[in-house]
Amino acid sequence: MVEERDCEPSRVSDEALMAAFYEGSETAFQALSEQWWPRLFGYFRRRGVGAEDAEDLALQTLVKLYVTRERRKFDVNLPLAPFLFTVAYRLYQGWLRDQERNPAGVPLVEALDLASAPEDRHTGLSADVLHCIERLPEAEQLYVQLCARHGLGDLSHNEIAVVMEKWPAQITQISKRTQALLRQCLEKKGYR
Amino acid sequence: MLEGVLRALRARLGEVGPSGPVFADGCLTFGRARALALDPERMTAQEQSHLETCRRCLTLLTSFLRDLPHLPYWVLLRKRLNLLSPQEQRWVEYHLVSGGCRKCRNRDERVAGSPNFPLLLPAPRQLPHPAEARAAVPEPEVLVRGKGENLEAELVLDRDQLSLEIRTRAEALHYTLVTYAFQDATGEALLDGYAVLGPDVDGWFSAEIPLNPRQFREEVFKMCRHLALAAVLPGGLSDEEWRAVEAAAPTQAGELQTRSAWQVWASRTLLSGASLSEAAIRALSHLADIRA
Repeated sequence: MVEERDCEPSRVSDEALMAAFYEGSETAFQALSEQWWPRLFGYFRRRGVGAEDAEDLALQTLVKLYVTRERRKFDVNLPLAPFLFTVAYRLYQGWLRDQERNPAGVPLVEALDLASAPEDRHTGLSADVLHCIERLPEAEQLYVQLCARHGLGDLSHNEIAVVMEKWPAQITQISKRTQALLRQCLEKKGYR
Repeated sequence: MLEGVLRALRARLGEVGPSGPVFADGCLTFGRARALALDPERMTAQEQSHLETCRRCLTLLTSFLRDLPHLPYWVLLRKRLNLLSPQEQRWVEYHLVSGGCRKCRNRDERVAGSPNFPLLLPAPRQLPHPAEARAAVPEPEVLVRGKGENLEAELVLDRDQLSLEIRTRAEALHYTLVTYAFQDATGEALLDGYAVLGPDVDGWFSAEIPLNPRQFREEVFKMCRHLALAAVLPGGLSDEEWRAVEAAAPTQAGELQTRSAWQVWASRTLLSGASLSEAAIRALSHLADIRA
C-alpha cells in the first residue's frame, strides 16, 4: 500500500490525482471529488435536473469513477473530463427514463430561475435563447450543454467528440448546425 | 449577439452551485462507503442513525452497493489454481484481502470446494475470411478441440456458422451449468457465457452454443490466449453473473430440448438445499418456470 500523499487540488492535475488514487491515496480522490462536484452538479442543472436530483446524480458519477479502481479500468494518463461527462450523460438518460419525460422538453428556464432574475439585463433575451435551446434536437441540445466555446458547458470539441462517440469533424458539423438553428429560432422571435 | 448571450449565460451558470461541499462533517467518505458496501456488518450504530437522515450518504452507499464490481467466477477459479495474472492478483488483494468483501469471501469458500477443475484449451486457429469460408468444401472445420477429465469441447466452423460444443459422459455433470470464456493473456474474458449440458445421443450430455463469426474474428481472435471451460458451482456466482446466466437461457420456441435441460437444471438446483443468494433464487425460479 502506498502512503497517503498531500494533494493541493488547485495545483495537481486530474491525471496526477487519479494516479495517486489508484496507488492508494483516498485524499487524492477527495481532492478530485471536490474539484468535480460543482462542475458535475452544474452539468445536470443545465440539463434541467432539479437541485436534489442533480446532487444525487453528481455523486453517482463520482462513485462510478471511484469503482474503476477495482479493476483499474481507467487509464490514468487520459483526461478525466470525457470519461466523467460520458458517465454523467448516461446517468442523465437513465434519470429521464425514470422521470418519463420528453428529452426535448428540458425546462432550462424554470430549472435555473433565470426568467425571474431581476439583475440580469439580458433576462428576456436569455430566456428566449434558453427556449430555443430546449427546442433543439437531442444531439444539438447536448452539444450546447457541453461546449465551452459555443454553448453553456466547459468542454472542448475533442472532449465532446468522446462523450458523444463521434469524430471531431462531426462535432464541427453539429456545432454549425446548432448555431444556424439557434439563429433561425431567435429570428422567428423577432431578433435580428 | 448569440455568442454574447451564451457567454453571459455560461458565466451565470457557473455561479449556480450545489448546496454545500461534497460531504459535511459526520458524513461517510467514499472509502468508508465502499468498506460498508463490501461488508455491511461493519456499520456502526452512529452511521446507521446518520444514514436515516442524510440523503447524500444514503445515495453514496446505495450507489456503491449497486456499482461495485465483484470478483468474477473465473477469477475465483484461477485464484484456486494459482493462475492469477498480476492484474487479477492486484484486484483480489484490493477487493477480497484488504477490502474484505463478505460476498466474495463466501463465494471463494464455495468455489474452493469444487470437485471440477477447469478445462483449458489453447487459442483457436484464425477463422478464414467469410468469402473463403463460404467457398470452402462443406466439411466442418475444427478450430480447436480439447478433452479434460470430465469435459470435452470443440469450436467448429461449418461454412460460415461458428459454434462451441461442450459435452460430457460423466454422470455427475448431467444437467450441469457450464461456463466458457475466451480469455486474453491477463485472464480477462473477451467473450464468455453459460450453457446447460442436456441429453444427446449415445449417452452424451452436451450443449451447442452458436457464436457470431464476425464478432469472434474482430473482438476475440487476436487477443485470445486460451479457451477455458468449467462446470459451475451455483454458490460461486455473483449477482451480476446470475443475471448473465438468466440472459443465456434459450427463449426461442424452436429450442425445446435446450429449454428443457435448463428447466431441469434450475429445478434441481433450487431443490438441492444449496446456500443461494437472493439473486440466484430469483433467476432459478424464473428459469425453472420456462414453459417447454
